[in-house]
Amino acid sequence: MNDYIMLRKNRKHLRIIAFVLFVILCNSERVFANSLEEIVNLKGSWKFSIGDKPEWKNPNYNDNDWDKVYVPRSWESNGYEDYNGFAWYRTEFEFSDDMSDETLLLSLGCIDDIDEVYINGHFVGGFGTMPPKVATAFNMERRYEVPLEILNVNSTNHIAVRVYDYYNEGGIVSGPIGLYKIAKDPLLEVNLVGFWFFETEEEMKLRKENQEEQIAGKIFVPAYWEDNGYRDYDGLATYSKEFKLPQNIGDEELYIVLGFIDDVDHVYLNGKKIGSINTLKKSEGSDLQFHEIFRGYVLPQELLKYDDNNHISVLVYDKVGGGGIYKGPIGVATKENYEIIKQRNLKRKSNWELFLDSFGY
Amino acid sequence: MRISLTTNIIRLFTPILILLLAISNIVYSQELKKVTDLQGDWKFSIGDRSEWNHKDFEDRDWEKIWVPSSWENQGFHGYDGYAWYRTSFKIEDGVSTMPLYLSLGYIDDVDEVYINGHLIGKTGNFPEHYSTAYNAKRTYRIPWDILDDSGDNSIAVRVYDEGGEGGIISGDIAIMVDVDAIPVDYDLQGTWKFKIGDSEIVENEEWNFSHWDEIIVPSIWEDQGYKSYNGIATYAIEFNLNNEFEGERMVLVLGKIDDLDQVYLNGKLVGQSGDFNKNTIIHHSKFHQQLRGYYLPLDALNHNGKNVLIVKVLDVFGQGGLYNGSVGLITQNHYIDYWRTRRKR
Repeated sequence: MNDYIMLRKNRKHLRIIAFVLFVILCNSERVFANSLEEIVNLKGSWKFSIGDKPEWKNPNYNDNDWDKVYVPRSWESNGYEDYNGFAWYRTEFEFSDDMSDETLLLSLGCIDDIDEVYINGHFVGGFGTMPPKVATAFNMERRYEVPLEILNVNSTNHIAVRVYDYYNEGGIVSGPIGLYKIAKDPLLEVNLVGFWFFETEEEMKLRKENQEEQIAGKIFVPAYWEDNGYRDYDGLATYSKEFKLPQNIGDEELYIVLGFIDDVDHVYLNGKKIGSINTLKKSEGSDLQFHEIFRGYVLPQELLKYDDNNHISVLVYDKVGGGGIYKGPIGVATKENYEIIKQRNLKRKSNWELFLDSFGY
Repeated sequence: MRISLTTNIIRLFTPILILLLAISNIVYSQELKKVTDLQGDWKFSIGDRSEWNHKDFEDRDWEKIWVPSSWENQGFHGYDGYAWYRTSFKIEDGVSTMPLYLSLGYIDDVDEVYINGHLIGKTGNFPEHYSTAYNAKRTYRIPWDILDDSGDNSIAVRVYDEGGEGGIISGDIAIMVDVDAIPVDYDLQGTWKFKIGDSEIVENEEWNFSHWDEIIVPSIWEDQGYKSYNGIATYAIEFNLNNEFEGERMVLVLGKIDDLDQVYLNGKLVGQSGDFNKNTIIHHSKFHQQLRGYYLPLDALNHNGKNVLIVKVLDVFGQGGLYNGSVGLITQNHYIDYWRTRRKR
């Protein structure tokens, strides 16, 4: 009895600690283990200057007299103690792989507090709100989709990062730094890891009011949406993406694999609902919590387009804590491979995982 | 089995978390280096006359007094009331670009300091609104434009003692340089307008500060007569530019502020350390250690004419105000040079 009460108490503490850690830490490593493959490692010495000049984004700007700092590490630890305000980072890289058909992304780990990223002078993204009305994004993971057409294959590419820090540590402080592509997954016919269109319920309402067709926001899948710019968001959100089936797919039964979702999902293929956690619960009678249940649904052949784009959308409802499609694999699999993937993801939990579960997510 | 694992991990985890939070709380202190020692015999007179602050006032027939030490120890036993101290100094070679400070240690109870006849600072309140500041350390910034860098410079210190020991009592008495100070191009330290409470900021409004109080910037407002005031206060200063910085991007340096600030230039918000929310300060107690340098938009300054700068400050507990460091405008290029040089030291 006493032990039971102890456990209950401890669980409450752990939940609080876990929540605090989840909010404080910017933990990019969560995604990188198996879904991404490094093309260029950009850790190391970058050019650095405090200050803020628009011409610093230009690829041909001469930064010879700039300081050198190590990335990732706070600029305070790079000799700029007590500095708050604007600073720019610059570096260059070359790559020669044949990247056609690949989705490339630039990872800059965690940046304290706000950033704007330019590749070869083109704006590729940013998190937070620049002054005077500052909104920090220090605990967001920076992953930016890099359009192939702005890159110079077989020659030099320039990256420029404008950073604003408004107190304490500043700069590109931690995490994976480099150019990545989506790793191949031999079990998937189509790998859907990458950037999906994304909007919350409010964003959707606003878009419809403005009579705009195209969803503006993109988010990296899989990851908690809290790590991707939706820090305190609980509620409804929609993920969507287009995909094409390979030519030689035949008439096998196909599955959509959605990994793990926190909490409730409703999945649509070309506008028709094809499944939800509620259907899964009913068929499997699992006693796991929603976010612990592996998601995969049959893609009905009568809905699939074999020689055109298919549109998949996932409506997610998250009540509290981390939300979204947070863990892979994500993609289209044959029935045979789907069963393999499912078995792998049903494996018994280790003590460590059981411990993490006690944190509450 | 599960219970003991969880319990043990909590026992291990909690101290680590506390330690992590403690380590991150690094304290910064201003680094002042002594360049001219002023400890020794000064001229001294009891009484109080305004002409005693003049640079050329003839003090040959005044008493000699050792500084620092109470005047009760030096023949003025039992004297309470006003007295003046005077001395002079020459600028040392090689400090002519550095921000200078006058350190006067501890003064019992209230003082006002003049260099070459210009008021550079005051601490405590003279009668009739008397309030002591005997336990406040006196460090006053000396503006370069009032100094004679080849000849003698006079120091005159007006002191009021309410009771007990009186005078310049103890501590470092010296001209100092701040090795880390930001060398601003347009100095805004000195006397500002000041008002307890919030002010509504309206763009293009004509301000009338005539009924506002005056305050020395930088200084802790507790030492300027606003004892134990916590809450919002508004600082204001007007200054004129004459095309000195036309076309330059400027950085507004405000030193350190206790605790949060919102900065308006000519009625527009140009920088802030955050919304005025008590919880922010309680959860991030390091705001008062942060150096404020706000990059001004190119069109924020009136480069040829009058500018109105307003700084709202929220102090939640303890000391408050714009309390430390250089205050003024610096061109972005000079600011970049400063931080690069500082890194190399």
